[in-house]
Amino acid sequence: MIFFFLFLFLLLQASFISLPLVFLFLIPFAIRYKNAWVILLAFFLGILLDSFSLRTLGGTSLFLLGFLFAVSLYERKFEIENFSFILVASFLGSFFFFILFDNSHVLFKSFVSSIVCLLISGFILKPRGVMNG
Amino acid sequence: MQRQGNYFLVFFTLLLLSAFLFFLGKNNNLKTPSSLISSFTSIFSRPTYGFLSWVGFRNSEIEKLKEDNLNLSKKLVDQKKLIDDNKALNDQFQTTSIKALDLLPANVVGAPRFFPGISTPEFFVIDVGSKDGVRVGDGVIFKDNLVGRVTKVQNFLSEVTIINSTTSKFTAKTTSGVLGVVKGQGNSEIVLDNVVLSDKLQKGDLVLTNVDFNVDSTGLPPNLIVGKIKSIDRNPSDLFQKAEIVSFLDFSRLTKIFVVKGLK
Repeated sequence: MIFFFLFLFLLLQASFISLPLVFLFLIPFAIRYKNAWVILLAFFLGILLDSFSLRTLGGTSLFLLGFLFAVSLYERKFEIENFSFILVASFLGSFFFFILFDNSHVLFKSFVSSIVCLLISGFILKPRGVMNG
Repeated sequence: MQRQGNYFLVFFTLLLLSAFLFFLGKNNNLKTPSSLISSFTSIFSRPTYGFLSWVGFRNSEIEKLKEDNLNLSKKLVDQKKLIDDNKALNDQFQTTSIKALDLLPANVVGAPRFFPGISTPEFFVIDVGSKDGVRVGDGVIFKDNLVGRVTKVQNFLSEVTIINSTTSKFTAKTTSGVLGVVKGQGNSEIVLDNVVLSDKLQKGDLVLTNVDFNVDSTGLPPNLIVGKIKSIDRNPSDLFQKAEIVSFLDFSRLTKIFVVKGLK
């Protein structure tokens, strides 16, 4: 089911919506499954997104991997399984994503992205009971 | 600890691989694999874009009126072009053959940087590429209305920069013969700039492409409709006057467009 949504988000982001849906999906995904295959998934999704959007291959992968690495470093010192972290992380991540790949309505789109990320996190993290505020 | 080590090993390997791919891509060494992946991904993105455009913009009455408006403006320009061409040809060459455009149909498979309801698309990804004869600089139209220009080409896909994009700029003229430069302002705003103050701009005048066609058939053929003058900004102390243009096309609804490959 999760992979179906991931594929759907990939198609939507690539063809119609400029929100970084895949990135927003990967944040709670990486929080829930702290495995190497999430990194692998981020790499391949980045390649697919680049090819969908006719960008230079590897650019989005670099961004996704860099961001997930920052999240994993942050996790060593602080609690990341909460709404506040997801809100701030998705806002900052989207902000940099828009600065790098799409320079229009950056603040507004980052704000919408962080709300969308919260909704996605609710679906991915709530059933497991990892969200604590 | 072991698991943590594996995690960072995978991470750094993939990070290096991404950087390597990015470096190769930047130096144009990944054209073929990139084209192959793009052609595969376009199989999915084309129906998605078509379906979402259809779902998002169904409103039959308004659609019909817009369609009629588009057809009428096309006929108006066609008629004017026909009269001008006939006059010129009859006067000088005693012939009536008029060159038509050689068009290549293309499906829009993506509109990156598009936010429905907030912004209009500034770029399209279309499902034809260099294998179909598309070249950077080719004009892209829909019913003789200018959509934009091809700015990036792969084997099976191309990127079109739409005329409302901030990177779009080309010379144009109005139906009354006033010359200027059309510049995209982003978010569906287009202006006709660099018009000398002595020229007379009129609200409602059609703006058409000027001569911007190269010998190799790239560029914009003349007399394609850019839009209609909506308002004029004329300040006597300025060097130039400018006008806001509104296109007859709703770029967010386009799913099929045509690449101009030359004149027949």
